[in-house]
Amino acid sequence: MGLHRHSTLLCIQEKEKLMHIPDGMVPGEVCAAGFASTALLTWFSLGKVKKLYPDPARMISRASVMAAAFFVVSWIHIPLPPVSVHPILAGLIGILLGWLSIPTILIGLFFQAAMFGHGGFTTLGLNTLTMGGAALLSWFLYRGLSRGNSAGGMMAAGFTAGFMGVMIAAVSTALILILTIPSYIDPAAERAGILTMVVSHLPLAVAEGIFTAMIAAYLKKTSPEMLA
Amino acid sequence: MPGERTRGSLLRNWHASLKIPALMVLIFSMAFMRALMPVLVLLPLSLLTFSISGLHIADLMRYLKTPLLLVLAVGLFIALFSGEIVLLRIGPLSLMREGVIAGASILLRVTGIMIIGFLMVRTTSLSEISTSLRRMRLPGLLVDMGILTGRYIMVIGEDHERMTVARRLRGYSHAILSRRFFKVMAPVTATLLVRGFKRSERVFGAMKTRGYGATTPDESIVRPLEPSDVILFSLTVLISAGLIMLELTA
Repeated sequence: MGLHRHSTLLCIQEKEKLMHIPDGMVPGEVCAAGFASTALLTWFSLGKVKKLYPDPARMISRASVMAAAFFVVSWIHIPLPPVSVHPILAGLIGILLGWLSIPTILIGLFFQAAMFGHGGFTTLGLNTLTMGGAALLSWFLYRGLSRGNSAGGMMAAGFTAGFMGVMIAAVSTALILILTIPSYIDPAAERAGILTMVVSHLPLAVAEGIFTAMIAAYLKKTSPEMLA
Repeated sequence: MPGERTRGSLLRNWHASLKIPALMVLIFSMAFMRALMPVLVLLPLSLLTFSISGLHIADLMRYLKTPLLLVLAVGLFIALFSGEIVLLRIGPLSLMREGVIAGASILLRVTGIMIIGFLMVRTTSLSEISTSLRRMRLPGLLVDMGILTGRYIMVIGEDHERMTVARRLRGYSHAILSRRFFKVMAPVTATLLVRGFKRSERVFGAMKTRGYGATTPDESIVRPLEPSDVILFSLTVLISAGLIMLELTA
């Protein structure tokens, strides 16, 4: 793809992101089921979005430019010594895009697979389900918690959305990986694997919770029309 | 001249509207394989395909590096915790025979699939991919979003690069997570998103001005199919069917 030659992107290729399920990791049947479920979810969310944006040009421009913006923002690395990790941003995507987050994440994940090999083509459906599901659930949580409109309430809602965005994505990815790999895997090791993945994502979840809360508060003050 | 064949490898010249479905069928048939013996075929097959692509091995290695790290970690986990027959004991850990076989099978399958995926996207331009997806009856809305996203990743990426350079010139770097990190990076990130949002309004205006939706994409610039495209398609589908047969008889 012509895109990969760009110098900015070449240096970003070196940075790492390990949340997505790579190609070949899970059985083909599971990948096919992931595609079918994502097709349904995308169709449903596009239906919802069409009601909000009767003009398709507005919807396309909003989704694509924001998908590109989120793609770029995910290059920012959060220092969590001894490693440096990238934000997942599922919570923030949910807060800003609502139902539009499903097609946006689908497209973003396609570009990540194409440009950097993060995720995969056969697992595009599964990864969209885990990330998109996390974004939608975080958005629902945010809407529920931010009703009072107080500054503290907004910060708490933003933190919860950012934190849960990471944790829902991590738990669902761990569940898919552990439950679809060999059937004779030791059940105790399965539980340990899920627990390890969840615990290892806790620092990122807390950092992303704070990050999302601050961004949501900033946007509420400066550009409230951007919040879904 | 648009639509004419350009000089290059066999894969680059293969018509995208047949190449993408054929390689996706191949990738999915690889994903269906589980037993170790048939999976052993995948790596030589994908490397052979890579050798005719004319792409650089360094690019492939860079593309594979990160995902393979994750796969190695998962492979090791499976090798240590799956099965009953112990191959080797290292302190409190035991390497299990079934786990080693399953881990090796996953590693080979992931590498094979990723090489084919790499070839698919690196030998096809974004416009060829979008035309091909449209022909495969994917919703036009999604295809158009994909094209615009690809275009704006560059534009917003440059904004991000400029902001990073400006921060560094002012002496800001973040090696540890501190309160300052959030105080600096949250407004920077929010600014990038606000710029993206405002840009989307301008893009919407431009799309309306150009009559978006009133016209259909011009496909006359795409070259017609040739016998070699169909032969390559048939060959790839046959190989995919062969892989499935190999798995079923294993």
